[in-house]
Amino acid sequence: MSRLSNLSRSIEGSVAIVTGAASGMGAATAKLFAEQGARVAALDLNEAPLAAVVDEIGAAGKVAKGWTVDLDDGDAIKSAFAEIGTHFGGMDILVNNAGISMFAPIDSDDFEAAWQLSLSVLLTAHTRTIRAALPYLRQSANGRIVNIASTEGLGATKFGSPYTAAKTGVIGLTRSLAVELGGEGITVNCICPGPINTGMTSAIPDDAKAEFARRRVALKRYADPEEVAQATLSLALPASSFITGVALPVDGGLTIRNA
Amino acid sequence: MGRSLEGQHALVTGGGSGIGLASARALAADGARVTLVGRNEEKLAAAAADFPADALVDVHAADVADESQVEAAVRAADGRAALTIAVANAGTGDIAPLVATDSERWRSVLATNLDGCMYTFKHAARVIGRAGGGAMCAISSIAGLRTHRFMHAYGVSKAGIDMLVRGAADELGVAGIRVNSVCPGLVDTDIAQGLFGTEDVLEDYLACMPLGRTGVVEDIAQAVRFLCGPESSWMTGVNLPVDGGHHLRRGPNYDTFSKAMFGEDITAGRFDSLE
Repeated sequence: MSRLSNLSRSIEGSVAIVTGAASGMGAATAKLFAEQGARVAALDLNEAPLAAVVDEIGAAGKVAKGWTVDLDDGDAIKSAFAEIGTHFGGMDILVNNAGISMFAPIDSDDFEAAWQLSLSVLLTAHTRTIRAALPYLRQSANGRIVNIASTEGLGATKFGSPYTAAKTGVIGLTRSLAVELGGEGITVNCICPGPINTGMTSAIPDDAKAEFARRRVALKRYADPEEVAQATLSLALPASSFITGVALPVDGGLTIRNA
Repeated sequence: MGRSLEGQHALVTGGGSGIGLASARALAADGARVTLVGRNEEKLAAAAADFPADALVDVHAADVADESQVEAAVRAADGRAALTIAVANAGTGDIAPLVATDSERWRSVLATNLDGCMYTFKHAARVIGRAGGGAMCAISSIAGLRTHRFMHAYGVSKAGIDMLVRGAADELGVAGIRVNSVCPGLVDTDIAQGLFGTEDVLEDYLACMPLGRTGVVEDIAQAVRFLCGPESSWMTGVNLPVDGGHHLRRGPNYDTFSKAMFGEDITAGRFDSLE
């Protein structure tokens, strides 16, 4: 009997690193990847919620280990990745998910601080994790980098210039590294999530979310974090070996209207 | 992973070979029932016969450029089992410099590629919407994203498909129907054999592809599978390049074809020879 498909849709046995894994899309990604059989290195700034995610994965009989890391600290990234490499003996998939959202008008007193921290955590940290992971990704049969950008990298929101600039930078970094690393078979893509129910959007009142979804989102709702995690998983599959340099909106159709 | 498309029914146009057939097989591999649509019934039957015995496969002969035939194919498929997925893949191509474009060939490419996609979406959306929602996916092209000199009808048809996808996604989200497209780069199919067989054209393609290899139909089929399945439940209106990174660079150089078919002068922008 002929097989229907020759490419693998499984990440079983791979080592996947997920930053910002203690909550939201990062937690959903860590859990999904572990459920699919990957060994997950889960990174986050917040120790207790990270431990809870790692424990939940362990209780389900899957493999994850947590590293408490401040992504604003380049040395901390280096040492964590050295430990991850030693602990798991390799790395196949890097998911740069960790993020912060700081709104600041361009003429506000706290703009400089918001700009510095946003660029550091949302963009510079990506270059540092990629540099730290690259020697291992080069050894992998299916090296994958998935950066979580944002629909803010495709459009813009008032007072969001540090965030929008950093996320636009992530898209540029993704495209450039796709060209740079393509010859080695490592794919580099990014996802631009739209409105998702996460900690970052939890302060928005429900009626405001409903109004936004009705007016702006083709699918008329906010998404669950796992719906982004599933898209990240798809880009990380061995079967996605011909996709690189893509900025993939996972946004319920938000950017169809105003990209 | 489980067979996450169990209970789904997918109609695939141009399903008898190439990307369409590979897409149908990828959907069937995860449990979907499939209906292969194409002009040549014998070719469809042969393709269907090669599926594993436990796959649910039907065929329906139709030319997507004819709306009544598309409507009949959708109705017949939906009559067997509620249709939940449509893949508008059927396509054709043509090469001609703009100044030497033949209007009948132009219309023929647009009729199959763009009209065919619209008819497929139009009629599939009616039944998928009634079934409570689902997914539609078109096969577009890198030629809809980046200029391809001397290949206008094809590129325009694919750019049109991408806009149709975005407009349909915006309109049909309320009906629970997601609409996306895959934009393949150079893939090893029957339609692309002229490109593979012309060394300098192939070299130019590869020079513009960061991954340094051409695609196989299954690369595209896996993306179609993703965009038609529950894993992409928050995605609609997306034109997804699956092209080894080709969209990051420039379109290919078809000078060789234009010179061979239409001469050095027209290719170089000297039009004195034209009537």
